[in-house]
Amino acid sequence: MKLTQLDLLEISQEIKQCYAPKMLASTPKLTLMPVAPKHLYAYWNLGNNKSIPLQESTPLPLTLRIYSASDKNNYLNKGYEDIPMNRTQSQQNVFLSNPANGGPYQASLGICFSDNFFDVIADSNLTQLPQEKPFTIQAKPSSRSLLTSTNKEIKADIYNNDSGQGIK
Amino acid sequence: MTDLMKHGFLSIILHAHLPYVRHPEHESFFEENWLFEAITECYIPLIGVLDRLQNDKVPYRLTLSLSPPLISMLRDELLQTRYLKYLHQSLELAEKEIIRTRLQPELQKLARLYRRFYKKTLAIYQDQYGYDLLIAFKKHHTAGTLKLITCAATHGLLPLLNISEIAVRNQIKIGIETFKANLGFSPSGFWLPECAYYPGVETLLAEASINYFFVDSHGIMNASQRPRNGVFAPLDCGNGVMAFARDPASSRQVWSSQEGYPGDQDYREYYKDIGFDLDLDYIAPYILDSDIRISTGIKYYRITGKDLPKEIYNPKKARAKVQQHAQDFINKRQQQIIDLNTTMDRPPIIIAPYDAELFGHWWFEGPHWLECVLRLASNPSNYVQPMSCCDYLEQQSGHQIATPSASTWGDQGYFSYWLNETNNWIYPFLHKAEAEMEQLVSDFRDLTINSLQKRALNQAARSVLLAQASDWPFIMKSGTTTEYANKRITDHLARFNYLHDAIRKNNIDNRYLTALEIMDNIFPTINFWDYLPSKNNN
Repeated sequence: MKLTQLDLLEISQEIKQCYAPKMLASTPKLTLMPVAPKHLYAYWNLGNNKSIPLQESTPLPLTLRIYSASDKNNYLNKGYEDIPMNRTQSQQNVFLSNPANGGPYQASLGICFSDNFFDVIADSNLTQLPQEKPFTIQAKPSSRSLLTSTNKEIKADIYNNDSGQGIK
Repeated sequence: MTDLMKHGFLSIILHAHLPYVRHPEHESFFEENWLFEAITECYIPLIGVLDRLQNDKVPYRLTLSLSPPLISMLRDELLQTRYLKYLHQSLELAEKEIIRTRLQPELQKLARLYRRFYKKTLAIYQDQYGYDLLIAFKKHHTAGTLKLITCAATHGLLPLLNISEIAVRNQIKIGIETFKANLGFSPSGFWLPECAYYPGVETLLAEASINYFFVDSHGIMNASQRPRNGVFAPLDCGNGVMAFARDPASSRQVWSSQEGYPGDQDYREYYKDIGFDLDLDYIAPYILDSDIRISTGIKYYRITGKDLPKEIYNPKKARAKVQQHAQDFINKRQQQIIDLNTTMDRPPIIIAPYDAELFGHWWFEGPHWLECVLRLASNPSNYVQPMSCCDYLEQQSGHQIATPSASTWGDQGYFSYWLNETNNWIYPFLHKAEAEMEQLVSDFRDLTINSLQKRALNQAARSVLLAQASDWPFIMKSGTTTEYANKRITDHLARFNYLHDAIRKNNIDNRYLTALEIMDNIFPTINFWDYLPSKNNN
């Protein structure tokens, strides 16, 4: 089949227009991702589960219950941290106040009732929290130098040093 | 102290990678210049270095990681043709510059240098290697001096894709398959994109017959057991796969703003390019759409110094500085080795990894520095012996067992450069596409699949992989060509959504599918069954 450059461009544009990514989920889902020591990132979708008491006139706060998954007794022994989540958002940075140093973590998103009953909406995946650094990091500057070439003049902010060039 | 006790190894690793920038739907496309600039300024000069070292019988050792997107682009006929056009244009501009600068002898001398440079580039690209630079790299690998390894399929940041083990497994597997299909052999080492490691990835690397990989210094220093040899010996992750760590000192000498060699005042200034400096009428044919100023590659000034008027570049002076910097680098490694030998139970190996694109693009003199370092290191009178990680592992045994800690070599040392307010929106979509791909393949498990469906499923897998490239969140954070990064993520996800929908509804349009196959022609032998969960669990 022979397709011209214009054919390709039109098909590409049509697909982009009609099939742009959309977030629709029928079932609740919670995903946890590692960012840095003590820092995770969570995103969620509450789905269309009508039993979730989110539409009540005085909605209870959404809570992320997060715990180390390296020791199963942790959770039972209340070795978890409850973090209030913004109900109007579907993603949030999560900063742990006193995490175990590194290791696997897991979380549940739910509603915490006054009698301490925790109604779970979704459980997360397991994620590896990076370890706190006793060793000083001398990270390389943001890599992939060619990708910082733009079609406009960049004022030296990537590989820039005192002499006007070099590496940050 | 005996000479043997002063003995140690230096392993320089260059990681060559660019995202898949190929746009057959356009006559020309700015971002394809990333590849063309890298070929001209980095890859061909590197090949020049390797050829000279070989001609002089220098017993150097160097490791080069070639990413699958780069491998695919270097082999792509459309990009080869477009690169040739780009190179001829550069040559034409250099010719024009020789005439324009006829009354400025110092500048004209440099214009002549650029003409020689482009002519030589053309000779290497066209005449010596017949448009296929992989032939050059393979030649040096076969000679035993260059060790070629590879990287994840589209340079996906594995710890952030690890919501699905299949996603990580396929990034590794398809990366290795692409390397093997183009280079003819399996790599023994693996470059984790951005040195991004998470505990457990070594299991998938072992499955793919990988012997070693690299992490940043803190990945080893914060390992599950205190590393008794610091970053100067690998750790066995417990399954026989070895983790080597970047040496902070040798990195700092090249990367640091305070101590880094590339910032020397005698080196060529990157930012002062005639594409920005000359009259628009004159430079129009060599810039974007004749009116958007871009780098042309022709630069006449040296760094000079902060807040000083830029002085004209003097290649002779720059070359002398290169020698000096190479000697300084080797001296410091020798001193390191002498110091380390008093505390280590085996000869130290200093791991010095860099982006290949630093050498020649930002640091014009970089390839020459690398050549000098490799020549000096290969001199038997030095205590620093160049060595590949592969050879080191063959010589040394009984490595300490420990699990490295999650880390990257990026800013702050973890994942925040690829996961922050500028780019976090992409991850729910990436994870969703991956999950839908796996579900789709799973649903087809017991069905008869016709050739159109097979093609569509394979193309859907390509779209998922292309969306997973770490380059897009990187660019979003760096704030440079963010519009392009957004476009690419959106395009690949939309293409996946289209294919997913068409496959589910059994409504695949051959014309549309063919268009997508032409536009995203990477991984020709991909097998969508790799996304089958049960297959991966076996």
